Amino acid sequence: MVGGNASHSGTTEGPAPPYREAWSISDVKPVAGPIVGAHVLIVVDADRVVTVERATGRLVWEADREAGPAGPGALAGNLVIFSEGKGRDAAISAIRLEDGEPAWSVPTGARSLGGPAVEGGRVFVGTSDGRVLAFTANEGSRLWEYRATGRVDTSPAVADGLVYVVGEDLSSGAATMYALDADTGRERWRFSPSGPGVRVSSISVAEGTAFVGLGDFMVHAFDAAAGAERWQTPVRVPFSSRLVPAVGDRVVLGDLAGNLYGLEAGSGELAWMFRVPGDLVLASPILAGDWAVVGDGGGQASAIDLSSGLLVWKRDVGVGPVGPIASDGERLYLAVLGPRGRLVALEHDPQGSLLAEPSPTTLFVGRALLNFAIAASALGAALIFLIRWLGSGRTERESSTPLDEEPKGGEA
Amino acid sequence: MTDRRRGRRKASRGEPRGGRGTAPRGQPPPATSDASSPEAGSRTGDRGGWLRRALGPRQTVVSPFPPLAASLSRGALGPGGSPVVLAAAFLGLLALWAGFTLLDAALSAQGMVYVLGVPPVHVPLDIGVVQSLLRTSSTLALTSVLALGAGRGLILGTLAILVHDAVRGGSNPRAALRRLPRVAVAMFGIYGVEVGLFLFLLLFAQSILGPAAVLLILVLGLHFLGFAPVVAAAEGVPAGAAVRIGFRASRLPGARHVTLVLLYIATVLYVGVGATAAAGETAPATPSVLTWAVALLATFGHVVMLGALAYRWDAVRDQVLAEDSRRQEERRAARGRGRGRGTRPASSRKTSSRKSPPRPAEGKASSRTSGTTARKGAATRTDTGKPKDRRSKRGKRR
Repeated sequence: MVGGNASHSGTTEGPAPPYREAWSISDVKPVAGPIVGAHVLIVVDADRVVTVERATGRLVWEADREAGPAGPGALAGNLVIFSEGKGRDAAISAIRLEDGEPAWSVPTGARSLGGPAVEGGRVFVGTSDGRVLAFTANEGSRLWEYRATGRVDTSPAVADGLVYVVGEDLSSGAATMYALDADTGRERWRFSPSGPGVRVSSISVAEGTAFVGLGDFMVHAFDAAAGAERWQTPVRVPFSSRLVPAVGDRVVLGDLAGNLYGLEAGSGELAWMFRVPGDLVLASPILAGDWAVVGDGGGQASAIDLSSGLLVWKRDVGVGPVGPIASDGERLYLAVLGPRGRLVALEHDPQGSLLAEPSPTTLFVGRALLNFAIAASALGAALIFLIRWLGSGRTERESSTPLDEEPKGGEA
Repeated sequence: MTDRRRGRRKASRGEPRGGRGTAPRGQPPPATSDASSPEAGSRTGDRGGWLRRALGPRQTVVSPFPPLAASLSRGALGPGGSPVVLAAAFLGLLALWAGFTLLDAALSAQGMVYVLGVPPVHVPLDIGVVQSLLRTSSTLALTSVLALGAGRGLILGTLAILVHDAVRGGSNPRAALRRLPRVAVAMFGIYGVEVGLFLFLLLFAQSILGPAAVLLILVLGLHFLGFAPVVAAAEGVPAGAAVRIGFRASRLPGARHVTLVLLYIATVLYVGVGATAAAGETAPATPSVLTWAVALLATFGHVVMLGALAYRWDAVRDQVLAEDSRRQEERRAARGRGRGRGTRPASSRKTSSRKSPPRPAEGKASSRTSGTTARKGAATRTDTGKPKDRRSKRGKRR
């Protein structure tokens, strides 16, 4: 499930960078990040659900899936829950983890981009027509339905008996964050920023605080139970609903342009910002020990030191955007999305060395001025020399032309 | 025989019916015969209506502007060979980069290509910065937009004065820069007009044309307002007059002006895209030598464009100022007639009749045939075409 658990904390013990490739397979074309099961990885493919062995990458079984957009699947006991189909034919389905045999499928009537969340034997999904649905995990029976304003493309986060989603009303530009009772679907509190708020992130909940990025260019932290705002911190660019904040001592969240922010979880103070080369539309960071690891839209995976904000490791893992990363503590599992997609497992490389690169957004004034001086003096001298040389040739031609053209014999 | 043939060929290659269309360095370009003749540049000479014009035999419209190659070469040779102009342009780029960095809006490689473009090429960039600042604080955004406008006015004013001076072969940039305070204020006004028009047009055009609207507005803006900075620098007129006169100059017949505009926009966009491809979408906040080199080369291109516009303005100056003066006179006369027919109270009529409206500066300039200035105390052009400061001349007489 997104962020590794129902509350989307996105944290794991390890492994530590640097990394090396343990294995990779190219015969899956993931549309969402993998999820970790006992001994296997479960991947939602374009038209399949695939399980592969975590240790070797060997395919275990595959099950058919109606093609359509999807978020990562979720595990509910021995069932794999995932979304499938498009438009009105969209549905939430469950298959058995052992063999991929279908268990149940219920139509949702609209696509579910964020993917399901499972908590306490219940499955929660948000739909693009603005509904939040709850089912029983073992049978798929509907428990309740809540209608939000606008579409709900975020993956529901579930913690302490509450379900958190964000509705985005594209016609008005307003976004609303909802906290719903997980048992009844009744609204407990809501928050809407003043002014436009669409282009939001998904929500993460940790230690009684809910974290979310909204389209008002702010990351907000709320008291998860009561909805009182604890802090807000400005960012440069808004978010994608596929982006899920990872929460440890620091909250790590990316924006659409590829800026990764490290914020103090208690105060919201910006500790560092690092810009990765690609965008962060489909990716989400994961906290592996003292490092944040993220794949970007350009196919690069990067590891950032959580305390300093320096890049310590990077590697191109494929051609295409990298989805949310999953981890079992020993390896990191990355899905390169799209038609040229692949599944990659990374493990700690004891022989590798760490980098210490600052963010490209860090300005070194002295170096910038020196580079300017070099470029300006070289280019200026070259241009002046070239133009004066051209100008002198032109002047000579102009001064010689009238004499050549002087008509003879009084034609003037 | 050979010489005569060559001479004929050269003559035919140059400006049709008007000679070569270029002038030796240091002299204003000669007006073409089409430009100087009473019918030249007039769209109203043929009163047959648009249908007859469309169906009738095609008339060759000769542009009063010098040819493209001549304009660009003069734009490059004059300012491009001047260390002062290049230094001003390069330092202007550095200043704008520093300003944007201070506003926490570090320029990408593409932004550095556009940032010192001939207005309104840089307007989308500025609007983007102000929009991002508006999210933080409206006071900060307002202060920043004023500071940005003032900075741009100063930089563009300096550049336009120096470029125009260099195109005319001037050798005393310090004397030319005495006009800077007045020109900078005019540039600030022109900047305001361009930003306002850009936002206004974008509001309507974007819903119909989508992203292509920005491109269309840039082309139209540069076409109709491209002369304004040059006019402000050359004539020392305020922003409103510079925009009006520049607009009149842009409407002279022929395709030479629009060709220059399209070539410039296409080149700038191409270089901007190339810079993005080379440095990446997320160019580092600390520009590399290569990024600076591309940005400086683009800045040189902007200077050449400004020089080409200055050269062309000198070619059509008298014609445009005369036309502008005539229109202004007509408008004043029409207004006077309207006032005469009006039913205003006698007291107010009396007051207004006592005060004759001030004659605009450009009207004065155009009342003379040539070699005149648009304002008191400005650098005037003598019969030889060399600039001369009227105030210093007066001082000598005393």
